[in-house]
Amino acid sequence: MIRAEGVEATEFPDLANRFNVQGVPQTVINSGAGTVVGAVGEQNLLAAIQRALLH
Amino acid sequence: MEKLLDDQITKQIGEAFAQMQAPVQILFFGSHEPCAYCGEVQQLLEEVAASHDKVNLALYDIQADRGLADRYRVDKAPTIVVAAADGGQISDLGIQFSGIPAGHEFATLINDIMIVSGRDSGLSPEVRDFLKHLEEPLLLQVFVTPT
Repeated sequence: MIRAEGVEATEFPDLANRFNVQGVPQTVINSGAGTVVGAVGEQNLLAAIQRALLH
Repeated sequence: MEKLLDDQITKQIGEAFAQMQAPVQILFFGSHEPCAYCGEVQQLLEEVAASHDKVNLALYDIQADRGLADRYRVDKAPTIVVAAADGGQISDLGIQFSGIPAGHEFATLINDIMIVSGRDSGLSPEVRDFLKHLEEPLLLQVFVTPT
């Protein structure tokens, strides 16, 4: 149900470009439904996930 | 072959792995096609797995073992899957890393192994409750660079 993938952006530039990754870390939720730039805490990540799932 | 992990790092891994609880299964998906760092990642994992008998490593090829790669939803190489192992039963927890886990990402890999070994995400009750009631799949892709 939940998958978490780390992606080394320089080795997979096509994937990074698809999601317009500019800086790292950047977390892409459900293939672009949401995105979080920077290392954020659990609560902020949760809020971003909730926003993304509303779409 | 020269080791990738020096004595100091090996010692630190040993100290972290001293807290190891349940066994962990690492699945490495490499490729016989041109693949930056596949060889290095495989060697790195072999050295990590050699550090503790509860860390098991299995080596696969993303093309030759396509069925297994599909089951773990691995579509690129090198990819490391960190799974739980219980009495020969491997449970996919949806945790993977693609590319070479260098620099800070190596510490992340060791942390992932310890979290899976402890069978506890460490998340807050509120987040656990939300995730437990998810009604659709959730994919989090964290893009990083070696630093």
